[in-house]
Amino acid sequence: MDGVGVAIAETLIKIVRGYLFAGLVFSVPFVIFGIQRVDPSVKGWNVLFRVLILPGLSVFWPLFAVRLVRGKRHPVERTAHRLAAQSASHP
Amino acid sequence: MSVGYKSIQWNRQKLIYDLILWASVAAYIAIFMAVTKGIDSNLDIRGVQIRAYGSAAFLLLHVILSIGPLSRLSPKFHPLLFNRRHMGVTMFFLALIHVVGLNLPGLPLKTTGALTWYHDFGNLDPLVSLFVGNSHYGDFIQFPFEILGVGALAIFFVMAATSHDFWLVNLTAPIWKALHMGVYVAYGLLVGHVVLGALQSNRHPAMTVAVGVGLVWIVGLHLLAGSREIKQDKATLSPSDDGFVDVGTVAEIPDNRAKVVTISGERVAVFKYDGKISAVSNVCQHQNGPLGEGKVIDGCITCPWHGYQYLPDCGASPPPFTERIPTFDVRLAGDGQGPVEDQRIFVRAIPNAPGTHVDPAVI
Amino acid sequence: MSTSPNDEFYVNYSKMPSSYRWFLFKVIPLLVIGVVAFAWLLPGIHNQFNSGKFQAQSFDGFLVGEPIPHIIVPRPGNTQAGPAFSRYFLSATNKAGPSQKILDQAGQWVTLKGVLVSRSNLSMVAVQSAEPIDPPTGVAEVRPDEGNALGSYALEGEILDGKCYPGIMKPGHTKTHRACAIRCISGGVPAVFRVQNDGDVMYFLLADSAGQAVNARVLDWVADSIRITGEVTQYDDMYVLKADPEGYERLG
Repeated sequence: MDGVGVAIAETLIKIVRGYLFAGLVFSVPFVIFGIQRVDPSVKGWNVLFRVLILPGLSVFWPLFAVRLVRGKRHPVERTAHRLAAQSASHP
Repeated sequence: MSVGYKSIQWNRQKLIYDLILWASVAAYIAIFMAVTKGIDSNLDIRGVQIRAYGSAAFLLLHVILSIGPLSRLSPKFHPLLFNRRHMGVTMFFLALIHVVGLNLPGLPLKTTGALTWYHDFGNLDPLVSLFVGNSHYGDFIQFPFEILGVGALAIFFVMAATSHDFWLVNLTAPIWKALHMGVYVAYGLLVGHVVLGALQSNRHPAMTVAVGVGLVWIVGLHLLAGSREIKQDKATLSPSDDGFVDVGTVAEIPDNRAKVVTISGERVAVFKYDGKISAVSNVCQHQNGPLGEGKVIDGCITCPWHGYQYLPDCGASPPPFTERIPTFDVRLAGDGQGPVEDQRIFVRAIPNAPGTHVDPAVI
Repeated sequence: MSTSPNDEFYVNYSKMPSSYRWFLFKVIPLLVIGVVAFAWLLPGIHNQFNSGKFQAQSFDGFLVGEPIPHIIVPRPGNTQAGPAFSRYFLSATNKAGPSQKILDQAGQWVTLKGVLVSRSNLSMVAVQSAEPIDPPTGVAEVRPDEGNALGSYALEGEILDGKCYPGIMKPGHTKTHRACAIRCISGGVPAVFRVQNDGDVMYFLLADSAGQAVNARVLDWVADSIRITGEVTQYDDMYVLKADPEGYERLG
């Protein structure tokens, strides 16, 4: 077992842990306070729902951080028909 | 969706589904361990749980991957499809227990995972040992199969973590689906994990045959289902000078059902109901399910996958729901002349913005 | 599209149409039968379970530290027929060699407490503690370094660890066990060379040509199919294969 391999593995593990931990630090307050600004369908105090989405938020947190900072809501999907309809109404 | 998210929207069928699923998983683990114990009562069976949980996850993955193409081949499989996500999350937890074990306070089921079993109690952090224990990264046969498992587990984690409908809305269905297509990468990694791992130690031919048959079954089923879809999508219809596409006759469409045609790079569902014709984009906003395989129930187009509903004339979900899909202008040729059933249906090639009201063509 | 004559349609929140129900009554039992069948058959084709045994025990013997930590224990009764001593190589109770506190007592007679781990004809002791004692009387003189040179051999087999292989692991060798064996051997558990000749399995402890420990130098060879050419020496009932790791050859 070479020291370089161990050092690389340790560094990668630290990076992943750090990213997920940072995600958790962002996500816990976000899921309590900020989430309704991004998705108005989050209603009431459904604690279990908020706990369920926490692991995913810890992975995709930069996406939600950007939306929160820019004051944007979640987008609507882009399919061929939606794009065609959009370009027809705004030529 | 605008009625607020629930943690899990259990209904009677979902409850039955989950009970059968979990009972089967529990039976598999229990029988696996009991049979192992029965081989020789002197045998120390600690560590065999790693195999029980690992094989359970791998088998369940085959079931999960079969449901998709089977549902394309026959709608009878839809009752297995609608709650497939619970199967996926269950499979993730089986794989997780395979790796990290199970040791919850107050729970009698305690097992050791492969990470502890093989990598702990040594002179390195088990997680570091996992990556550097076998360092033959440049070799095919000697390749560290553990890493393939780590990759698959990471994909399963992301899929399980984003399985709630919240993620469909916030990532949008096409991106969510692309992300969940990662299951095929994970399946490939797992086949490698099993072939380069367990099969190298277990030389019993039946094991190799079983993994091979599983692979042929999964690939074959997908090719079969996929080839049908490709044929349909190839038959793209082009508009005539007035911008309308001839999609066929009224007689071709059963009552409350749709004919699916491909226009403007995507499928369009042309529904016949109450003596009227309406056309909407075939793509359900929830999970991009095939609305054209749905049915008009209580005046609403109902998606065959999870039962999301849309009003046929405006492509909007009935309040309080807020989903909206693109609609298409329709007209009938030969109004008032000849048999009604021979009237041809024309759909405008350019879709209207999602939720736009369109007067249905009256037969 | 195909529709059943009465055009049944399934929605998960509504009552299930009868054709769907009948279909599930056929499919779900099939799936359950599949689950039971696999659970029933798979354990039987895992044809490599270890029959390792554990037994807490104490040994009075002469402790040797280098190159392979082991204890030389006088055999009870008439030893005319075979060696006068049994040798058990040692490890700690985790994936490590015996602790320095124990190794410091090398060269003395000790009472050693630990777990005897054995699998067929391979036995070792996972040491918990050692206390020095007076040399016993009426026992032949201990000559730790005096062995019976059996000559030079080219042997084909697999390096595995001396602890988990005889102990808890299933199967304890081949690739699935590689990472665990590397942890053990790098931690100081003696490296064992397993040679299978038809049905017979022989075990050789590894040392280099100068009689030094090889643990750190064999890690990259663990669990692979290899050939080692070296001198075999028998120390009582323990066989040691002396060869420099630089000369190991990979097979296949």
